[in-house]
Order: sequence, then C-alpha cells, then structure tokens
Amino acid sequence: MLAGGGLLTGLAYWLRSDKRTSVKTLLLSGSGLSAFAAPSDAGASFSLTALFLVFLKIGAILFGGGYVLVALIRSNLVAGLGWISERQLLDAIAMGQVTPGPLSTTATFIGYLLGGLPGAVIATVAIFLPAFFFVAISGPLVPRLRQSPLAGAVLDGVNVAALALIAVATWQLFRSAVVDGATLVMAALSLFLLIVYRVNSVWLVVGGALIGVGSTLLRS
Amino acid sequence: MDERVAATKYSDASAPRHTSLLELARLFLKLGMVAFGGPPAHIAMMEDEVVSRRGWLTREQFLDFLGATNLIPGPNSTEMAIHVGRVRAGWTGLLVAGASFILPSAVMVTALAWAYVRFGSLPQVAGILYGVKPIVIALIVQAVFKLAKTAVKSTSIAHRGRVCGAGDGAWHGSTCRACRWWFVDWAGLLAAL
Repeated sequence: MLAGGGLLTGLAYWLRSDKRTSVKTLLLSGSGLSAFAAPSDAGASFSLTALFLVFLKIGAILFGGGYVLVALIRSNLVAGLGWISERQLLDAIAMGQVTPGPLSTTATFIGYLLGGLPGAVIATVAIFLPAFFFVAISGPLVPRLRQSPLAGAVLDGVNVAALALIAVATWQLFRSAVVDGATLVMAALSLFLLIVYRVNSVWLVVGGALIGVGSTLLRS
Repeated sequence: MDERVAATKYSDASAPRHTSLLELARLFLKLGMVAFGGPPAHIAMMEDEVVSRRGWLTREQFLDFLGATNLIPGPNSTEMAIHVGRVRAGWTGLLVAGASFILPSAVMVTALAWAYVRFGSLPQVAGILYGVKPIVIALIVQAVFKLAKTAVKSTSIAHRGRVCGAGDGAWHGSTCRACRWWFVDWAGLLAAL
C-alpha cells in the first residue's frame, strides 16, 4: 500500500511536470484520486461506477502478482464491500489461472458476476487501465536511466532481482507441474525440442493442451 | 558521446514506428491465446517471439523493460506487452499491443463466467493445465537462462567500468530517483513477504 501510494504521488509529480495535453492529465490524475476515495464507503450498494473505481484502485496498487491480487480483491470486494462471497472469489481466481493470458482477467469474471456483460467490460478496462498509464509514463524513462552510469547500474541490479523472482516462481510452478513420469518426460522433451530444434513455443503449448485434454477424457 | 551510443541502442525515441499495428496485434493476440502458466511463462514466450525470433528488441532492452515493470504497479507481463507496443509503434502501438494481449483472455473468462452463472458450476477445463504446465516449465527455464546470461554480463561490465553496483547505489539513495524506486520496490517486496 505504502509503495503504491509513494509511486502514485511520484507519478502525480510526473504528470504535472509533463507538458502534454492538459485535458488528458486532468482526466488521469482525477480518476487516480477518486479511486483512492472509493474504498472508504464500505458496504456501499453495487453500481457500475463503484465497480470501475474499485478495480481501478486495485490495478493502480497491484504489486507482485497472484497472491497480492487475491488479497486485494478479498479485502475490497469480499470483506470490504461484501459484493461477492469467498467461494465466488476462489472460483474467479481459478478461472483467471486456467485461461491463458494475464491473471488479472479474474476481474472480468467478477465483473460479469456482478454486472453482466457491461460489468465484465468495465471491470476489465478498470483493472488494466493503470498498467497502460504507468507504462506510458515509465517507458520513455528506461532509456534515460541507461544513459546514467549510476542509474544503469541500479537497473542492472533490478533486472537480476526480477529474474530471481521469476526463478522462484518457476520452482513453485515446477512442483505443481511435474507430478508424475509423463509430465517429467513432457518437460524434458519440450526443453530438448526448444534448444535443439528451436520449435515455436506456441506449437508446444497447443500440443501440451491437447495432451492434457486427451488424458482427462481417457481417465473419465 | 555516451548519449549518442545510448540513442542508437534505444532508437525508439527518435523513430518509434518500426512495426505495423497489424503485426503487433497478430503477435499479441496469438500470445494472449496460448500464454498459459502466469507471468513467468508470458515473459518467456515474449522473449522468444520478440527478441529471439523477430529482433524487435535487443535482449538488453527486453531485460531493462522487464526490470522496469517490477518498479511500477500492475501486471508485469501485460506491461511487457505494452512496453513492446510503445517501443515498436508509439502511442497507438501501446494501446494495440496491450489490448491484444488482454482480449483473448477477457473473452474466454467472460464465456466461462456466463457458463458459471447459467449452470452454477465451473466447466472442467483443469485438464488442459496438466498437459500445458510441463511445457511451460521448459519454456521458462530456457528463457531465464538466456536472460540471466545477458543480465550477469551487463552487471559485471558496470562493475568493471566504475565501482558502482546495485549495492553501492544504496549510498546515493537520496540523490537518485531511480534508487528510491529501487528501495520502494524492495520495501514492497519485504512487505509482501
């Protein structure tokens, strides 16, 4: 929370110093502020505007992926507003994980439960909007960080840390993925195909999905 | 001189439009449809497509943007897609790449949510993950290995060039905005633990 808040104030500074279209600046910073006001009215009745603001806030303070997303949705929508049950939350998370693409489409599922198709669209736009905004602001800074030897060295450290985080997540995924001989063979075989034949990853994943569906059908 | 080198390495600021919006949309719609397994898997598949196969970014650039996504809030892999779109095709590329990566997942989840509301239970789709996860492990291991080689190389060059590594950056924390971000990030990480 603190980290997110600190970054938002930092970004507010960047917005003000930015000499781009002032209308856009006002719009963006305005929505950022009102998002912070949203969670205070706990137990509020459902509306599409409130849905938008809650997911906008979650998108703006989401740091560090999966577990944080679950915790944020639980504290805001289950405990805070009481819009969805714990069971619905767990089902929504499961759907976000089982589908390809970003996990944050969990918001799409919850949006649909609460407000039908308009709810799904609004929740999706709201949770991803801050990501577009933050990248638009920070993207041009990355080459500038590289120009400074000091900032460049810091970025090197951040990059190594980012890879370390991925390595840790990979180990957790490995333990849930390689559960028997067949999955071990599949992992080893695909690593071999990737390195030696540079097989396109898309085909490997599609093949894996077909094997997964096939094995489920055989077992049932 | 330094600035010139950096400018040629990061040519995005001077000439942003290298890739057509159609190409961006095609790649990220495809990735959005097959990128199972969470952010590490998405990063691995993007590295394969964007760096190794298409050469849209150098591995160093890719790594820098990956680091940068860890310093801002929001889903990291989606932000990588948005970064790639911005570098390759400017503001419209930013929107197209990000939306293309999100759209397939959003459509699938909406369909599943419709079934959930209509039938009151979750469809049996977990079997897909049994087959996909081992593949994804191989993808990630390969991508992390490639990126780690680049990361370690650039770090040791920085050390040789001047005595200023990530740890030394701590001493300049108050003077450098990036250093403060670094602390914010680690503070956030510790808080999450």
